[in-house]
Amino acid sequence: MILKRSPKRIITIDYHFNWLLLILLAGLCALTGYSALIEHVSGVQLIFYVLLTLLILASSHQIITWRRPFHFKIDPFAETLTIDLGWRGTRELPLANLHSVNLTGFRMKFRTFYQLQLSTDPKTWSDYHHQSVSTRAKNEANYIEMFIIVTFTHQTKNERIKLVRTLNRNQVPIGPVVPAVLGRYPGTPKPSRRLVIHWLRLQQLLDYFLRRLVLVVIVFTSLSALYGRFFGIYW
Amino acid sequence: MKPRYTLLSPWQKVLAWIIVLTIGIESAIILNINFLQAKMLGQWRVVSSDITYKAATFKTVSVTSQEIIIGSQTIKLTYSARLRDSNFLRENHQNEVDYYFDSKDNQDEYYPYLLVVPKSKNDRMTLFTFQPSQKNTPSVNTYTLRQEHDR
Repeated sequence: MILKRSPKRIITIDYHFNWLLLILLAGLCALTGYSALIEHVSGVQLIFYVLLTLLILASSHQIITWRRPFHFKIDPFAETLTIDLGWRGTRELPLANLHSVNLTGFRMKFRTFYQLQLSTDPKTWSDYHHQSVSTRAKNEANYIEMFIIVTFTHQTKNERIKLVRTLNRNQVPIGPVVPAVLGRYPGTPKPSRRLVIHWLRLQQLLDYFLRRLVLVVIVFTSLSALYGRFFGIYW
Repeated sequence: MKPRYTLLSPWQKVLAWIIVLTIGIESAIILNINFLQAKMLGQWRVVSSDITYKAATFKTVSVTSQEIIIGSQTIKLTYSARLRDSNFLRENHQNEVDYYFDSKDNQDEYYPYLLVVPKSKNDRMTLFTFQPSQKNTPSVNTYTLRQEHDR
């Protein structure tokens, strides 16, 4: 689906800075430093604080980069989409190379994360991820299309709609949502590449197995604990 | 939304489900061992006894999932995932399952009661009570119990 063309202009979507996360991070840093100095804190506790701080740092790069001209910029004259990835720098994607776009949201740890899923060819994907020459050649030999995933948290609803709509106006159609397999978003392999397909099948099998295993173990163990608590066990 | 498992055949899914269910049942059995046996629950009558120290006599033992009543003594059971928080200890042996119970007013470190449940017989149980405050050579009273069936 492609919407009607409108007058061309550069559209930017602002970078939002989260003060709450910065305060949380500063507090955690202070706590880590303080617990390292005083004596009666155990090593396990100290490691926990350090890991928590590092996890928050890794999961939200938006805390560090707080003065940025834009988060997403769509330039219809140069036909590019520029994405600011915080401390990982900016990436420029030619709009002609994007096959489709989709925006999904998912909740994790009481926060909603939004995902911009861009379907592209392996060359653009390798450019985006700064891949080495060998990986680049391997990707181009094995895949038809690959998916660039951009995750962000702080954009408002209007800005999210504006982002997708502007991409849509610039000849990028809306595609289907790509589900994650083992936390990654594998591309579409070439039908002739048997080994790649086999490897992807193995990953899908492992994902299928693990998702059901976690659920089944939790349900069976709690049900059997409840039954054993009141009616006794048979083993 | 694209389907997640595009490359899997039905047989692979069935195989995955079989392994998942096997591990699920195994984990349910392995992780939940700190409970009473199902056949322990009910009313028990003292058939014979071997008494080595003087204690209050009793004729019946009642076992429920909440408490165990031995004569005038009532032992409230506390369950916990952590072994040290529950007031009984289960030991699995080849032919029998041993349950050590701690009473509320027990000051000593050892368990004052031991119930031995044989695996082959359903209506027999043996109760051992230990005389308090004799740690090194505790005197033991042995009671053979038989289940009272409701008629």
